[in-house]
Amino acid sequence: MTDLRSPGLRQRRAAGTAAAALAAVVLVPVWIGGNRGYGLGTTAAIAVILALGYQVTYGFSGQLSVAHAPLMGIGAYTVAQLTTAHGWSFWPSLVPAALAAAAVGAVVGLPGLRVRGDVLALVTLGAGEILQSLYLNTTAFTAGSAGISGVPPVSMFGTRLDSRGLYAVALVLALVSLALVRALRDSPLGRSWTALRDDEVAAAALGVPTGRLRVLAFAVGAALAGVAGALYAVQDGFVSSVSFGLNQTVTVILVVLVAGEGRLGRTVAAAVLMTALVDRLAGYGGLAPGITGAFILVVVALRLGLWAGVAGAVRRLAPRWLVPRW
Amino acid sequence: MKRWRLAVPAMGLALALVAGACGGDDDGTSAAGGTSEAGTITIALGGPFSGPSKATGDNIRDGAELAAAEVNDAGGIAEGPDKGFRIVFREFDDAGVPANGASNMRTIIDDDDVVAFVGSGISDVSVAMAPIASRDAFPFLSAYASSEKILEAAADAKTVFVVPPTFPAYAFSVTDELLKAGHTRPGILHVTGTYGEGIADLVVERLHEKGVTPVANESFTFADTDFRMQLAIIKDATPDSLVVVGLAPSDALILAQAEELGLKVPVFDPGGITNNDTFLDAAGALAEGVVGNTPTLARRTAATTSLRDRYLAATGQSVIPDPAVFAYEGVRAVAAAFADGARGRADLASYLHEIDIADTGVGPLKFATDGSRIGGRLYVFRITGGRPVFFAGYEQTGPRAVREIPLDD
Amino acid sequence: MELFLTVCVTSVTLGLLYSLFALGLGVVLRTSGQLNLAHGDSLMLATYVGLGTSTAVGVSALGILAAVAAGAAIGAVAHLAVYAPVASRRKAGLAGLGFLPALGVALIVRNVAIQADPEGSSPFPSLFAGGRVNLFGDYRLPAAGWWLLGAGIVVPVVVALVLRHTVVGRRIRAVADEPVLARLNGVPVTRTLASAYALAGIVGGLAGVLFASFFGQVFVALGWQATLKGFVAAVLGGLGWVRGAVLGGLALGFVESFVSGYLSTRFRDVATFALLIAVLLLLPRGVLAGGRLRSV
Repeated sequence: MTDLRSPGLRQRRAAGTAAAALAAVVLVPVWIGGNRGYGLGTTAAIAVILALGYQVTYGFSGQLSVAHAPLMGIGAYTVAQLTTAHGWSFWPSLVPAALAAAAVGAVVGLPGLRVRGDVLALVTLGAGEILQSLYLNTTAFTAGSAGISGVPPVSMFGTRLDSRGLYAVALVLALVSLALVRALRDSPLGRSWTALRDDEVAAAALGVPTGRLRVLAFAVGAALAGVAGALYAVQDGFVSSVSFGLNQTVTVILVVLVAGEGRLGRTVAAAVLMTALVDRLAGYGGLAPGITGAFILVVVALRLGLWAGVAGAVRRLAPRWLVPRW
Repeated sequence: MKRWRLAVPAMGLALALVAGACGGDDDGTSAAGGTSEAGTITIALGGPFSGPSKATGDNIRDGAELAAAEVNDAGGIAEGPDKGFRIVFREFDDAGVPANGASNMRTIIDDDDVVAFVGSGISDVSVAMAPIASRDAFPFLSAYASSEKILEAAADAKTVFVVPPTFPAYAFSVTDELLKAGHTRPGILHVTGTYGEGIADLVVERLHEKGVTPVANESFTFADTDFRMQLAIIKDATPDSLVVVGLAPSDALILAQAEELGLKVPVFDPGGITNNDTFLDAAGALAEGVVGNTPTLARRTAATTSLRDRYLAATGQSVIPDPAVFAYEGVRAVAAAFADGARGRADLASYLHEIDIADTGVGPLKFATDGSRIGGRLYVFRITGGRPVFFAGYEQTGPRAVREIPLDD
Repeated sequence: MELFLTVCVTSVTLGLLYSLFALGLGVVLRTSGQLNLAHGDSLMLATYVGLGTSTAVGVSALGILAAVAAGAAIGAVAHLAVYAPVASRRKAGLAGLGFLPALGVALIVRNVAIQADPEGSSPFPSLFAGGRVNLFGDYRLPAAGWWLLGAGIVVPVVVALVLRHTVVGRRIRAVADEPVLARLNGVPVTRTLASAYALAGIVGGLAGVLFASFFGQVFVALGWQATLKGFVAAVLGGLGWVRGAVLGGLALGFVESFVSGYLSTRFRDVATFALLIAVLLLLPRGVLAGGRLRSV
């Protein structure tokens, strides 16, 4: 994980990537125009918030959670319940959505005190399956497989926001999340997380409270997932469990793996790219499993350097101007 | 570790893809443009065109296309300001998943060309879509999905219609026959979701009205294939009959596993599932004696026969499946509303409330103020020798009321 | 009383299916240290191959044979094409997400099955001869159930014998216990691992055909279900070679059936995964001692 470039250069590059990505998020919907463009922009913003949350849990502290999308569901169901059954409006319900997700996230993260690596991944996979099963079966809270419909749209100053308004809201929330996660990364807390990820024994020896930090990383990541879920609930006005399954978790994992641990600018870029890819390639109900599977293998090949062989062959065979030099 | 500087090409790719996605949106069922310019009326057709309920989606498409072909071949819309306009469809697959339906509904409303939605084969999907349509006063005709909750969810705008009879008619007709057959200890096994729970609750309600309490009421999910525990629990309660509210494949498995457990009681299907080749093929001899209902087939009027002949000519199928029937009627209703003077999505619903088609081939078609069909009919059959044999007819006389009618009415 | 007996029969039939699922997962896990998340989807696709073959040829036995062959082929090919190249590189690059390659393969295999069966489920005529036979009271177990009872005993015994008394089996155990030593002694490690995946695929294909024949249906979601339930069973059994898988599968079958029968059918899966988490947390060393699941 060592980066020999100077921190200043690295930060400037990261800021550049983030700015380019955000410019894309801001401009593309306006360029496409119409409700479709703004809808896509909102979807991209949700994906960005979700991925930033996973950066905290996995990227910063190195804990393999396979329950990120189910945690997003906590936020979505909380907003759906509060707005449809209890007459809340979106803004106040955002707070309990984030808090509830954080609380459940902390519980899901508790095993991180005991197990690591693949085993933690499997424990969280089990926890995710439990959440999914509860979403389907605790009908009083989730309306089961039918889902909760009729979630009212977001209002501001007494007017109902249209798709452009919701897009603006999502964009602001994504920016706030980015600023927050960036501040966290560069804070003493963030450095403790990184120390924990890179060498737990050394971190503990330096007096880092590893146990508390582990759970906190899950809670913060889940809180952001909860905010993403809250936005998701008002985008279509409908919430059901299929939107928070393993497929969605895998998509987030891929985004963060492509971006690199702790690399926030790239995370924004990768999340936007993934939204565009999903929009282009997805049938109904998300990407075809085969496409997700191929993505996984490509990302694995990239991360392991197996790609170098393929890329080298392409570079040798393809005309020079066609291959971007990266 | 070596980093690949993906960000810039990635952004470029993202932009290109999104732009491409935008361009690719006009997959072109019509030459686009407003209805008044191109002479077409665009209807959004929705249903499970892929996934586990694909057969239902295919039926919906067949029925809708038959209706459109009839209107268009006769020279388009018959009367009114849009006289001569042709009907075209834009298809929206929901794969039977409510979240997809909700997302589709948003896209459909955003598309100014589209004047109405016809479709959805699954009640969960219609229940998710209807409030979104209602919020923007968009005309929504639920074909096949028939939970009364679809109407509840969209009570204010009066732009939501359910073409088939609603759940109470389905549940009450078969429950009444169960009681008439003298059963007093029914067990219930139902799928979860709007459909299974909705029908099962209505069956329980009807039984209670007649002083009968089900001895067991178990549930399963769409993904289940092992029903032995539920059936064992039901068998343990010594029922004298079994009410199954499931889907064609699950119902066949349930019958096989009931046989395995030795649960030998008459089976009743209030969900309108068993008059269906998928079920009859999968269940084989086990289907014998099952009592179910369907809104078609019993009647032998000229209109019915003619509809069946036309469907046979168009699709090569001799039996018109229920989803096809109601999608057909939904499109006919929209065409009739335009012939009566509707100009577009803004006033279509008010004209739909006024239509009065004497016989679509299924029966008279007109809507009550709540958007439900007036006088929807269900015919009750018993599967005998591998085919349904009809023995009773019911007509829906109110949101939660049915009356028995003669079979040949 | 009859409910109790029925719950017991369900426990045993379900449990034996789970133990057959766990058997294949366990062999691969012991040999390569890999949690093969593609195991279930591979056996599901193999089951479809079996269905297609028996429908086309009209001979049930050939259908079973085809499923078994397909299971072996998918496992071996996936190892040679994907897992072996990945394993040849430092896994550190995945930062512990070592199960991702298998998940990728699982999703691709699933996609093939969806192409073959877009509706996601097909009726499956039993490939096993015989009629229903009375078990107790009114309970009449179908033929596939009796075959399942037999296979549940015979298959683990055969696998144990293969591992103990054949050249391939001895190589598999050598690679599992001492991979470095095995390589130094001239054991072709990659090929041996491929044969472990093939062995797992054979057991998997058979398990898939038994499952589909017993329930009269094959469906795409069976794949992931088999992976999850098989894995829980393997963990419960202590990730051993054979005995653990059988005992773990039976234990899971009993837990699920009794929760369904006496508590609620709705919370069966919650119980299953709560059990998984509890075992992974409370007995990480005890239960996992035999396996090579990385905990750090």
